[in-house]
This record gives sequence, structure tokens and C-alpha cells, in this order.
Amino acid sequence: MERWWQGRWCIRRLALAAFLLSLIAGLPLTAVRTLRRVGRATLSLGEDARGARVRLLGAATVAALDSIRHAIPEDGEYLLVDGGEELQAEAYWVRFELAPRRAVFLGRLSEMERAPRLSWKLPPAARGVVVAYPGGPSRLLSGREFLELLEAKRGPG
Amino acid sequence: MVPGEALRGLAGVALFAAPGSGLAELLPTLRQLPPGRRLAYGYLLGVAWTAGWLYALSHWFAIPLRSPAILAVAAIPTLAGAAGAWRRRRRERRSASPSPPPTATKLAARLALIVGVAVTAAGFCDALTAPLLDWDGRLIWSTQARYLRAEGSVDASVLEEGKWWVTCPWYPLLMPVAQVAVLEVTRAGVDHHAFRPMYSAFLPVWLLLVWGGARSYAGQEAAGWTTLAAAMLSFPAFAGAGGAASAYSDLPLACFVGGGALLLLDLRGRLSAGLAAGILLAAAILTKAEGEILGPLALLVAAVVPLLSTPGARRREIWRRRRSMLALASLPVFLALALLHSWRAGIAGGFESFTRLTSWPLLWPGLLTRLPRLAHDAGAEMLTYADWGLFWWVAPLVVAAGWRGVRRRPARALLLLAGAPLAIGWLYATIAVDPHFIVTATWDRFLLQASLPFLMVFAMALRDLTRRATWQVQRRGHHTHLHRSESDLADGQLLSVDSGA
Repeated sequence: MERWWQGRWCIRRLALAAFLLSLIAGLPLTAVRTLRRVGRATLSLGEDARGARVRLLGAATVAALDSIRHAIPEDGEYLLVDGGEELQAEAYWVRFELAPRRAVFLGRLSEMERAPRLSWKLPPAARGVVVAYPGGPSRLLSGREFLELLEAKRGPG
Repeated sequence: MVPGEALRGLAGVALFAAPGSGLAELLPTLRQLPPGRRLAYGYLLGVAWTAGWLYALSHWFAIPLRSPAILAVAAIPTLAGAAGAWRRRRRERRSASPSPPPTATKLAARLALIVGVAVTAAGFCDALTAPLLDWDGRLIWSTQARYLRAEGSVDASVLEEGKWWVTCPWYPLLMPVAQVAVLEVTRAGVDHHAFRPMYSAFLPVWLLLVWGGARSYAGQEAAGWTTLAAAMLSFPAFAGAGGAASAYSDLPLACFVGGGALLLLDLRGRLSAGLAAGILLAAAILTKAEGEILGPLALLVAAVVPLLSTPGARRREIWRRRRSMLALASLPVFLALALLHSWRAGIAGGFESFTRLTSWPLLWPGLLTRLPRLAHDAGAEMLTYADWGLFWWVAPLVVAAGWRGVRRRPARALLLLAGAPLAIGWLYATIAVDPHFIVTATWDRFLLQASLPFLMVFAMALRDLTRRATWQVQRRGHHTHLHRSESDLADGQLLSVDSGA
């Protein structure tokens, strides 16, 4: 009986020790993440919302988005193409940046290049085609410019 | 950070804290809480009330989501609460009753306070100085908020027409409506991140709910250690994919469901607790798809579990005491369900995004055959140091070693409530076309949704551990104390250690 009690006592002590150890082990991570955020905020004192956007998205990206916003009114619509080679999220982020403008998603540029020419037919009534490039500024093209881009990518034949 | 812009973000928090504090003042159960917990419940009620009414008014009465409506909805409880507080203070001044003596704060509670304040401050620093960069926040919630703001309506044509590229248009819109309210009232530009502090404020609210609930169930010491452990978890505080640093709806959902359930599980069955819980559960339904299950389930668990394994006469007494509270709580819940289904009836595409990712025929034999793979993936998520530290390594050990503390009646309901989001997540992954992707993308968030009830159970086990470990050192071989403690723990009642602090 006594041994049984001692066994239980050991398990409880072990559980408490493990819990305290987990708190101690978590301290550096919490401290680093906390200090990093406070430090970043301190460094960005005096920076406005636009400055923060430029810092995090890049000046070229912000300028490109501004120019597309200027060309398409808020209640307008556009065709959106993912300019990445593989499934990436850039088109999502461009849609977010351009909202509330309405997007019709055409697909990935790399897939469209492989499609037969006859299927290159753009939906009407859009102000243009926005190509979202991962890691670079987006481009707004007219329907004709976009079809020319596809032709150029596909090459002769 | 420019002071004027930072003030916009903080004004967004005040937009909900003020009406919520008014509601907390009007509801006696919340009015009697210590200031921190009252403010936490107040904030949740403020978001639920303001965004919930705006959602309903916009959908049913076509009232635009613009400043006049937003300010009017927020002003009603703010002014009513202020008038109530003024009248109460006058009454109390006449019959000046002595305030309760302050209770000594234990080391764990002080540490929890320090860490909680630090991570909260860090969260606000980030939210006030940087634009939104997370995944679902930009993919779904904030994009939807921009559509709603542009059209001034929750029935935005971009969601209803079906020809536009919108991700998950059927997701409930309480948090995007709250975003719109902040941006409209502060007149922030489309790129301004003034809504981010509103999400950051859910972290201190969550910590205060953990502290308050754990204190009720397990006393100050266990509550302090549990809150300290919660404050040091990276995922709720810092994760860009579901934590307070993001614009995901998981932390708000965890607070609404958990806060509502904690109020409902109080056996005293006070009407004002029922009304507050009902408002919070209604908000849960309008916050995220899972809320449609978790909100009504919390109501059901709170109604049924206290009656189980209770003798007939006592069962009738519990039911008599609680039935009015439960009926009052169910009113906002039914209203929210009606609103959600009425709104969703006009949304194009139905559950298209869900049906594309899942296939019901996978359920069987997937429940068995996918079990090892899902357990491996879920375990890997839980044991990731960068998100959860070592918490999920030790939490099962603590709960197992302190199992006697978990034998009390509230623990059954809490375990059910903690298990429900995990069961939904497990089911989702079982029928998913790509289960690995679903587990890695969602399991941490389901853990967050389950966090409040689970941390209550954790605190109960920890209380049992600390008490028994101490006694065994002091009185090895003296079993009399141990017998007494077992009868204490098995009484099934809410501990009355809730005064002060």
C-alpha cells in the first residue's frame, strides 16, 4: 500500500516538474517574440500607414497597386490571372488589395500558355486583365495586350 | 506609428468596449464580477451586440452599414449602462457598504499578470504599426469586409451574384461587419489597418476568461499557473494563422463560445447570466461556420449535463432553478440561427468551397484507415515548439496525474465542450480529399477553439496535483486529510472562491 502511495506521489511530482519545466522552456520564445514586436513598433515611430505598407510590401508593388486602383474604379471589375509558375497565393493578395473591385479569375498564366489558341477568349465587359506576379509588382493589361503576352510566351507554332 | 493613426485603432476597440461595458453594467451577473473580467465580458458583449445588430439591421431592414447606424447601435447600451451606473453609485453612496477586503495575490497570479500584459502590449504594438499580412485574413475576412463596406450592406451583390471570384462567400460575417464598423466610424482609408487592434483585444479577453473561469473552478493558485501557461502559448498570441495577431475568426469564436459556456455552467442559474451567455453564443453562430454547431451544443450541454447522474429530487430542483436561464439564453441563439440562414439563402454558390475540399464517401472506412495518419499529423502540430512550446507535451500528463480533480461534475461538461471542436476538426480531416493539408491548416485553430474549456479542466487537474503533492510532503502516512480532500473534490459544485481581485 505504502509503495502504491509513493508511486502515485512520484507521478504527481513528475507531472508538476514537467509543467514547471514547460513554463521555463517557453519563456525564451515568449520573450523574444514580445521584444521583437515592441522593438519593431519602436523603430516605426513616426511612420504612417502608407509608410508601413511600402516597408512591408515594397515600393514597386505599392505603386503598381495604386496605378491599377486608379485605372479601375471602386465599383469596377477586372480579370485576374495568376502569373506564377505553380500554385501560389499572389492572386489572392492582389484581389484583397484591389477589393472592393470585383475579380473574375481566369487561371494561371503558365496553364493558359499551354491551352490551344482557340480557347483564348476573354470574358467581355472587364476594364482589363491584372496579372499577379509572385514576388513582383502586378501589371494591368488591356485584353489585346494580354493576348499578345500569351502569344509571345507561347512562341511561334 | 503616428499618434493620430494609433488613436484610430484604439478608438475601434473603444467602439465595442463602451457598449459592452454598458451591457455588463445592466446585467447583474456581470456587474458583480471583478473589473478585469467584467471588461473582458463587456468587450465580447460589445462586439456581439454592435456587429450582431448591424448584421440583422442590414439584412432584414436594409439599413446601411454607415456611421449613423453604427453609432446609434453602440450608443444605446452605452448610455443605458452609464445611466444605470450613475443611479447605482448614488444608491450605494447613501447606503455606503464596506467594500470586501482585498485578497492576497499569489506568485503565479502575479507572473501571469506580468506575462499577460507583456504579450498583450506586444500584440497591440504589432497591430498598431503594421498592415494585415496573414493568410485567411486577406483571403476571406478582410476582403469580405471591403466588399461590405463598399456596398454598405451584408447582402453585397458580389456575394450574391455568383459570377465573381470570392472565397467562401457563405462564411458568417460578424467579424467583417465589426471591421466595417471600426473603419467607418474612424473614417479610415481602405488601406488603413485600424481594425487590427480590435482583433488583438481578443487576446487579453481570452486570458481574463481563462483566469476567471479557472479561479472559479480551481482557486487562485491553479488559475494563476494555468493563465501563465496560456499567456506563454505562442499560437493564441502571435500566430499569423489564427492568433490575435491575425484577422482570423478563431480566437473570437473561442472567446464567444467559451465565455458563453462558462456563464451557462454556473449552477446558480441567474437570468442575467443566461441572457449574456445567449448573446455570446449567438455571436459565435455569426462568427464562423463551426459556431453554428458549437453555439447550440454549448446550450445543450449546459442544459443536460448538470442533470445527469443526479438523484431525482435534486435533478428537478436544478432544472427548476436553471430552466428560465436556459430559455432566455436560447432566444438570441435562435435569432442568430434564423439570421444566418436567412442571409445565407441569398448567397451564391452554397457550400461550394467546402464540397470541393471534401467527399462524404471518405467517411467510412476513413474513420479507421485514416486514424493513424491524422493522429500523426495532429500530434506533430500540437508538439510544434514554435506554436505551443511544450504545453501539449505536458498537458496530458498533468490531466492524467491530477485525474481526481477532473472527477467533479463541471469537468464532464467542459470536456464535452473541449472535445466538440476537435471532433469537428477530426471529421473534417477524415472526409477531406487532402487530409494532410486540412490538418496542417486547421488543427491548431480547432485547438484554439477548444482552449477555454480545456484550460478549465487543466486547472482542476493542476489544483488536485498541487494540493496532493503538498499534503503528501507534509503528512505522509496521514490519510485522513486525503479522504477529506476527496469528498471536497467530488461535491460537483462550483467553488465559491470567486470574490475579490
